[in-house]
Amino acid sequence: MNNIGIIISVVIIVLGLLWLAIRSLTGREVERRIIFLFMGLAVSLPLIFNITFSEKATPVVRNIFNKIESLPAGSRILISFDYGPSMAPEVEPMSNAFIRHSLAKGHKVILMGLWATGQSLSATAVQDIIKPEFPDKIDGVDYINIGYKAGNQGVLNVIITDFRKMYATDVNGVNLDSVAIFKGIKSLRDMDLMISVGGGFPGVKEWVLFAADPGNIPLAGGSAAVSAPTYYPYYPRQLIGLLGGIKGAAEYESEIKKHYPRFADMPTPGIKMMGPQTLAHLIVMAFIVIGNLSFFFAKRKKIDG
Amino acid sequence: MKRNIPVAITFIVGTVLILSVFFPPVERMGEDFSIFFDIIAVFAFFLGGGNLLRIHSDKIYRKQKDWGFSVVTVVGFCFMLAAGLFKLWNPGGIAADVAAPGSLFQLMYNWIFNPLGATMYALLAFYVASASYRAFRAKNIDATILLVASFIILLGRTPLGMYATGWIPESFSILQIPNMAIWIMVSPNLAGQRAIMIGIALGVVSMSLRLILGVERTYLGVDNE
Amino acid sequence: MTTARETIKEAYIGAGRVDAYNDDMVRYITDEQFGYVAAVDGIMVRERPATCFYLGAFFAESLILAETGNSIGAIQIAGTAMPTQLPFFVAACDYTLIGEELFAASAYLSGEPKQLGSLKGQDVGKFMAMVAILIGVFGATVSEAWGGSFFFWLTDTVRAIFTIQN
Repeated sequence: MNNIGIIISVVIIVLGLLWLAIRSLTGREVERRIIFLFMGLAVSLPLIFNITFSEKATPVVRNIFNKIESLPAGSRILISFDYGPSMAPEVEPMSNAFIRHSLAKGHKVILMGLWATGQSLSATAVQDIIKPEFPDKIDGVDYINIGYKAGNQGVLNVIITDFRKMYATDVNGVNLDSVAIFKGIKSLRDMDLMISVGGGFPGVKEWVLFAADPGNIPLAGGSAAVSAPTYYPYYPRQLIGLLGGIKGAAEYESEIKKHYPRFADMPTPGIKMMGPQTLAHLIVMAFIVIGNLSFFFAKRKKIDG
Repeated sequence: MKRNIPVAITFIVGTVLILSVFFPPVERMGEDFSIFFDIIAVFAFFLGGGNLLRIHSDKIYRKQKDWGFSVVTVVGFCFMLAAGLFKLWNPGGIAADVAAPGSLFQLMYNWIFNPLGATMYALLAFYVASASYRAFRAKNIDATILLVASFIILLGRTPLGMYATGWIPESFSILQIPNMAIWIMVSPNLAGQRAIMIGIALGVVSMSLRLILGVERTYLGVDNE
Repeated sequence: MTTARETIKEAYIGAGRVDAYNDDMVRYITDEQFGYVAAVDGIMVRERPATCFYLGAFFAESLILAETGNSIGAIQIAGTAMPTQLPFFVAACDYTLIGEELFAASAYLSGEPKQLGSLKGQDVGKFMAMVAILIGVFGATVSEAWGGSFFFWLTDTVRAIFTIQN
């Protein structure tokens, strides 16, 4: 199915691009809707034909994986859901992969968010990932969701010294002093690893500036592809690693599947979305080439004319 | 008085927040101000929401052009507010987490809000394609170098980059497209990003100082004095 | 919203068109990113402005706004300090203020001495940053290549100056 799908997709798109190229080069206007149609085909055909590719983790992704692997069981990992539903298709595979990996390794996972929409998404993660896949894990002992607090980087300014000044209870109203997972945790400095997943404001940058760097706490990031270039300056000193876009998520998922047989059948939306991303990138490259060809053709025609 | 009090508040808060980074005795005050900001932010929600309701209700009442859209806005706003405020259908009752599974708020979030937000974000893919076709031209050397770099990144962020250049031996692994893409991100991109960040940071420092010292008062509706 | 209202009102007064200003021209839409862009796109498509100015902090909504503006044939001028959104604005808008130019634009247009002065101060700051970078790069390169306690000390000092530790 994979190979036939690739062939059919490539044939359809190449024929379409040829038609587009001829139309552009003969000086006829190409409507935006035609371009949108190509992009729609590029994204939908790989999903229809289930086109997937194998992934190999790059060092910037592997560093995060190795860090979680190297921490002793029972280490405290904080995952911040700093994204909304619009960004969820791109970054949710990352947060799910981090949760799976951390819990499979026996670490304690603390979920929070600097975005209001992050609280619902973390609740969804608890419901859809932790409870069904890790039924032995206990809320308040192995994981906890402390939810969202307004204040953006102001929240980080406070919890870098004292969690309880900002968070008195978890999302279910349970006092943090009464839960086992928070015994011995006073502030962010008691975390063994922090992971910020998101791509907007507040996001990875705020975690670097207001938590990781001042507190000298290891921080990993997962961000949308468009924001990733702004976080590379912090790698590898302030950020131990970065998952940039769906490619980063796909690489991390492939690492988890490689090392943990229990996740052999886990859903891998990151790997699944690499098919549409690949075809979409090829289409964009083709558009750029066709656009430039028609530009130079028209220019030459003008000079000759 | 109307203008002096906000300027005084800006000066005091701005100064304390700057000092809290450098002087430990003032650190606690900085944290307290951050909490005060949280509280004020909540009131801003009231102000914004109230304004939204007033504008759209007025539009509906006067049946101005496109008032139908305002009906959708007001109904959606009120419905979601009621669902969250009164914890409708929430299995845990009024004291439970607002986003508890099975609650009306969470259902609306999952089935209406999430797909709508994802749809808007998905538009970007189409707009990137149309912007690329229309705007990316190799008009000069700089633009050509930019285009070549963009092609490397586009290929490098897909598995095709590894398939195309995976045969290159490890000693020349920098020539593998994914590694070239990462090199572009962590070297030239890094240099450019840091330069822009330094420039922006200096601009922010300058603007912030002007605000804190009361030189810049446009936010009060007055020209700078 | 209140700040934006005051600013726009002041601009109308400054232009001598106070009668044309109405408080409802500046209204709160939402703080949700894509709800905002959907609303603004709707306003642009219905009211068809001749010019669109995008100034400030933008995230993923930048290209959606710019492409919609392009589709209605508006002149578009953008200015943002968000490095991730600059490429989209440069590609889709007619004119773009890149990063610092946004802060310099008001100084350039108004010619006010205080604003020009802070622009000069930024230039001095940039010069100091350049000197610090050159010293740090020189110290780090020489210390790695040839050693020498002075160069290690120089690199560590520059690093310590620019590090905040709690």
